[in-house]
Amino acid sequence: MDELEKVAQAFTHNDPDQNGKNDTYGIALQKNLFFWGFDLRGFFNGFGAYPSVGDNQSAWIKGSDDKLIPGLIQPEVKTALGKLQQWYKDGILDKEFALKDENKAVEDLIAGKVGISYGEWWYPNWPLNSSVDKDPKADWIALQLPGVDGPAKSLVPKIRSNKIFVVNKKAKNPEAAIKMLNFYIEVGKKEYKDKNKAADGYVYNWFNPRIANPADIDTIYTEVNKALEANQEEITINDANYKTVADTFKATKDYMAGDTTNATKGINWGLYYSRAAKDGGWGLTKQIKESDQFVYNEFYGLPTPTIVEKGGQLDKLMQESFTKIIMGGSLDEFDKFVDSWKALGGNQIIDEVNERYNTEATK
Amino acid sequence: MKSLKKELPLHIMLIPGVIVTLIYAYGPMAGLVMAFQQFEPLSGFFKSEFVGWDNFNYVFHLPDFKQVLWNTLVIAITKMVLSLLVPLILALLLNEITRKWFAGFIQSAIFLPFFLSWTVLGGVIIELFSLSGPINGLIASLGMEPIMFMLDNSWFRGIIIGSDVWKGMGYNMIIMLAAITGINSTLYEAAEVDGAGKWKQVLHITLPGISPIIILLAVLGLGGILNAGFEQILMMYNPTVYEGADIIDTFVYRLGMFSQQFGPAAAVGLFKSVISLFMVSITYYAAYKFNDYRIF
Repeated sequence: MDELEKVAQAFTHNDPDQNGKNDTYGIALQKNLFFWGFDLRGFFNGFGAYPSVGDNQSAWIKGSDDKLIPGLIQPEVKTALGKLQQWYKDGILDKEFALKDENKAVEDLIAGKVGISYGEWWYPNWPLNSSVDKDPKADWIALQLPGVDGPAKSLVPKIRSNKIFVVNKKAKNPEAAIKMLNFYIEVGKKEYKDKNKAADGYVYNWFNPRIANPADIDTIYTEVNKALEANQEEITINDANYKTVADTFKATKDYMAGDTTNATKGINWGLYYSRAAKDGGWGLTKQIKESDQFVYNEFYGLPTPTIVEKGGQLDKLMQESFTKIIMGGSLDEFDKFVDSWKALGGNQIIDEVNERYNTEATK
Repeated sequence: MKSLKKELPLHIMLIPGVIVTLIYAYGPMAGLVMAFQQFEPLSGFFKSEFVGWDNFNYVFHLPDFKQVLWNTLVIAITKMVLSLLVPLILALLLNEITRKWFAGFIQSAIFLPFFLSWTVLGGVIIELFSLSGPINGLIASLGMEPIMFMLDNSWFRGIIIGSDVWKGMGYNMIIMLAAITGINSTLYEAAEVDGAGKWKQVLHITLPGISPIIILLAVLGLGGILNAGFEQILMMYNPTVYEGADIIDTFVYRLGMFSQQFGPAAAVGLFKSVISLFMVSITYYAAYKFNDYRIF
C-alpha cells in the first residue's frame, strides 16, 4: 500500500506527461464508488474491507460466529475511507471525481492523465488498448491488489451462474435441449468458422440455449501458451472455443512480431496481455485463484424483500456519506452512517440475509 | 343543422388528433392503477395484488421525502417566477431597440439555447463550471481560490435555476414580444401627446396590454409546480448535492429504475398530477375572477 501511494504521488506531482502543468493525478475514479470498473472495490479489499461486489450490491462476508455480516459497515471501511480522504487532499484522486462517469474516467486514462486504475483482468482489451495506440510508450502492468502488509485478498462472488434452463416434464422432446447444447459446441469448430456469419443466419447471441463455458478464458490462456511453447503455427484445440483461442493466438503472434496488418498494436497487445501473458490479466488472476487469495461474497440469488424496499434508499445514503467523507468531511460521519444504515432497514436486511443463508445456501 | 353540415369536414379532420390523444394520453392513464397495487411485471395489471393506499403511505414516510419535496418546490417555484420575469424584461428592452437587424440578432441569440437538449447542455455546463473550466480560469486570474461549483450545495441550486432560466427564456420572450407588437400604436402616440415618457408608456400601456399573455403563461407554468426539471438535474447532479438538488422526479427515477418499485413510483406520479391539476384549476379560476380572463 505504501508503495502504491508513492507511485501514485509520482504520477500526481512529478508531471509525468511533461507539459509543465499540474494536470495529472494518480488513481482513476468515477462517481459510483462501487461499480464495475474505475471504482474502489479493489482499494477497500486492500484494507481487508469488503463493502460491495459492485453495481450497487452490498457484499456479505462470513463473520466470527458463522453469521453473515455486511462488509459495508465494518470498521475496516472507516480506515480505508481515512486513507482516501488523505489521497483526495493530496491530489492523488481527481478533485472532481464525483462529477465524472465511467466514460470521463476512461477519457482521462486514454489521454494519459492518470497512471493507475483498479479494475478487471480484461482492462488491456479495453480501454488500455486505446492508451497503447495513442501513446506508443505507454506501458501498463497488472499487479495483485496491494494490501496493508503484503498482497490483499480479492472479493469474488460465490456463484457466478445467472441463468438456468429448465425443461418442462410434459415436453414432447426433452432431449432437444441437450441436442441444442451439443449443436452449439459443434458449430464452434474450425470447419464452420467461415460459415458462421450473420449473412448466413448465424448470430451467436440469438442462439438459446447458448452456453458460456465457465472456463473459457482459462482455456484460451492454457491453449495459447501450449501452442506458443511448442512453437506451433496453428492451435490444436477444435471445439466451441476454437474461434476465441485462435483469435488470441493470432493476436499474440502478431504482437510479438510487431505485425500490425490485421489490427493495431494496442488491440493485439490487449488480447495478448489480458488473455495469454503469464504476468498479464488472466495469468495473474490464475495465480491469485490457485494460491487461494480471495474471499467469497457469501450471499447470492434474488434480493430479499427489505433489500428491494430499502436498497435504493440505503445506497443513496452510502454514496452521499462516503463521497462527502472522501472530499474532506469528518471521518466520524462514518459512525453516523452505520447507525442510520442499521436503523433505516439494515438490521432487518441482516436478519433476512442470515435466515436465507441458514436455510437455503450451499455452504 | 345547416351549420353542422358546413362544419362536418372540420370535425372529420379533428378525428385523427382526438384518436391519437385518446391512445397516447388517456389510454396510459389506466396504468395509474399500478399506484394502488403491489405491482409485479409478470402478473401485470390484472393479477397484481391491490394494496389500497399502502404505496402512498410508504413514499410519504420515506425519511428523505420531506426534503425532496422541499427541494422540488423551491427549485420549481423560483424557476417559474424567474422564467416569467426575465423574459418580460428582455421583451420590454428588445422592443425599444430600433435597429431591426440588431434586434433580430439578439432575439435569435437568446432563443438559441432553447433548442439544445439537456443531455448536451448538461455536459457543457459541467465543463464550464469545472475546476479547469473558463469560469474558474477567470476566478483564478482575479487571484481568488477556485470554486468547485458543481460539488457545492450552496452553488449547485443556483446553477440549476440560472441555467434553466437562461435556456428557456427565449421562448417566453418571443411570445411576449409578439403580444407587445399587437398593441395598437395609436395608444403610444396618444400617450406621447399627453406627455408620458418611455417609462410611463411601459407602465400604463405595454404592461396592461400584454397582461393576458402573462397570465396565460403563468397558468400554464403553474401546472408544472412539481416539475423542477428532471432531465436537467439528472444530467448535472451527483451524490454531494443530493441535499439541495434531489427532486421528486430523480427520487422516483431511482426508486423505479434501480429498486424496481413500480407501485410507489406510480403513486408519486399520480400525486404530482393531482397537485398540478389542483394548481392549474386555482390559477385558472383566479385569472377569471380577478382579470375576467379565460382561455377556454
